[in-house]
Amino acid sequence: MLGKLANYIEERTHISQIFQEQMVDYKVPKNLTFPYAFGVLAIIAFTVQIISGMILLMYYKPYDTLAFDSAALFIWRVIPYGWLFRSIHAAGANFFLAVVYLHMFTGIYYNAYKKPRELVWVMGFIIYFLLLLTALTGYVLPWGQLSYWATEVTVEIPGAIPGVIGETISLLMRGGYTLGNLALGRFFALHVLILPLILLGVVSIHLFLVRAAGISNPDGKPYDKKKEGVPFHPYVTLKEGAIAMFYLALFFFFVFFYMKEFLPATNWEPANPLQTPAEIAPEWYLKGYYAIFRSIPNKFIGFVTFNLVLALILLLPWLDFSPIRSARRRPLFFIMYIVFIFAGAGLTIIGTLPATPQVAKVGLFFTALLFSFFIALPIISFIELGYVKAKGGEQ
Amino acid sequence: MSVGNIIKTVFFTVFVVGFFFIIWVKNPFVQEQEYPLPAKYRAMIYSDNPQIIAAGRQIVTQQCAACHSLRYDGVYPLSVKSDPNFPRIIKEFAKPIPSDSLLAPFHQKTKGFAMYLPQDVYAAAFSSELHTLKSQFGKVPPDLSTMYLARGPEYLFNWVQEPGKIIPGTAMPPILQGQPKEAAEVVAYLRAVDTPTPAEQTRRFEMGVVTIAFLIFFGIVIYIYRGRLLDKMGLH
Repeated sequence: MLGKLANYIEERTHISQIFQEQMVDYKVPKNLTFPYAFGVLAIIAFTVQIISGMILLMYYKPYDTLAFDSAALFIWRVIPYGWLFRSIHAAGANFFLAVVYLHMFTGIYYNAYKKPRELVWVMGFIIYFLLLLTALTGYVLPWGQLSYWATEVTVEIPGAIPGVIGETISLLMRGGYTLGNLALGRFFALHVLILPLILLGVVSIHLFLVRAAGISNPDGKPYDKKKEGVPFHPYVTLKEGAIAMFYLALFFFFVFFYMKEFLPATNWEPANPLQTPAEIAPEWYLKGYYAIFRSIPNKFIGFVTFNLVLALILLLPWLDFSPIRSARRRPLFFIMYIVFIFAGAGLTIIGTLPATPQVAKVGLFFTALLFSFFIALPIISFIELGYVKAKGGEQ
Repeated sequence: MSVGNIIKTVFFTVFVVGFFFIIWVKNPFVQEQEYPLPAKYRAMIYSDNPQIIAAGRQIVTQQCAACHSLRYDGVYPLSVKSDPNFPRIIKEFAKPIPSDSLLAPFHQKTKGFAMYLPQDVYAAAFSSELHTLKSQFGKVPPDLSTMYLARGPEYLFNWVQEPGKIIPGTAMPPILQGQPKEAAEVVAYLRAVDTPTPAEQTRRFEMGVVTIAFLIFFGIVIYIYRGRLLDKMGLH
């Protein structure tokens, strides 16, 4: 019976042929390292968010007087397993962004953004940006003190643009002069439907482009797919399947036993527009940018600087025009990469500290370190271009 | 693997794990304010003892509820309760929410359900009482339903005894000054409102262990299966 059904579907869809073509005949380099799994882990994290989000969506109420109780009372305590899905969704958001960051840093390390993969990088950057927006809009929904004030701080950031423009953007984002029902409704719609839909589309384009350009390899050398390649299934699928299970195990460890960080204490108090909590800071995935913004005394320059970092990340494929790929074969790039990750991690940690003049000075130092990476890239590329040409053009 | 590769792998692993440890688990650069909580009272707070919780609830309903509400357990300020409309509003608008086993005995009249008034109904129906409280204290005294999760036992234990020490000039009077036992009872009750019953906690713990164990086991099985399959295919 089941066999008949399978035959029936097979005749009409040729699904096994597609599977053979796309999964088995698709050859990938044999030397893919562990960090290549972060791409798959990101897809898994996205799926986890969509499923847990669907469950929360059934019980959440986007209305200022009801939102907090729907999250803290009904979902957390009354609905069976509501606590589990809220924990999964809250921890999942953090894990998703962590995995996406690791995926990006892997891409930078192996120079996976270089020709012919520039579009893969651009699409990936768009995903990252949309993801930040999704996280930001989702953060406001529980309508706790931290949700409210972190969002208030965020919508005030464009206000650093002088003149009417900055204020207008802030007003638009906030939906008026105070953050209220209007903003909550908009953020809700953005978070549950608009942004995830766009994300799904962009993620599919990203995956398509990865297939179209072929996967990069850690040595950065061109490889003969027929001779050196291994079938994607089962060689990679099973390896990444096993890694995915260990990832989920770690994820559920946090979900069941350590939610303190992902459901912060301050957010268990209902939003109070009249009372500012002692410390307001964005979530960890934005703290790096926040530290840059905060360290620079002039608000407008701070705003421009952290946006410049975003723009430079987007422009990486063109900043780094060296014909040599992968940090494995580029000692100068490797050193600057280490500087880059230290600066990024340092800025994120500085973002967790209270704002004092000393902290701002350290922040400026790390900002300079971060920019030294972007400035060094064209220089390194130039040196390497000369080196390759001197060797007669071979890589 | 060459020595250089091993060093690189170890470095990046330590870097990533260390970074997330600082960001998610313990940040050595940030000093958190600590509040003293003697072991004796800590044990009382975490005891899940119905008598301690009952004593705590009595103090809350008799003293704290002079000004505060605790809607998730159906506790309302005295002035609200003495409003002639109160019984009718509860009857018409309150939602019965199941009270877990530690709190159910307090709601025998309503068959173990706490009568919860939605925030908008509560604020509108008792607007005049809440306004009186507001003019007395400068703001409506906050609802205590999620205070245990928001502030933690150490803070609350000190706060209910000497609020002025934590926030000088606060409107909160030192109701339980020099009464650590009563303070611990109040915190134990607030904890009972916000945390699942011991049985439920055990169930969640077991659920977590089983889920994680299954995932690790399944991951290992996939890995072993892959090894055998690749051997057969000659791909190793």
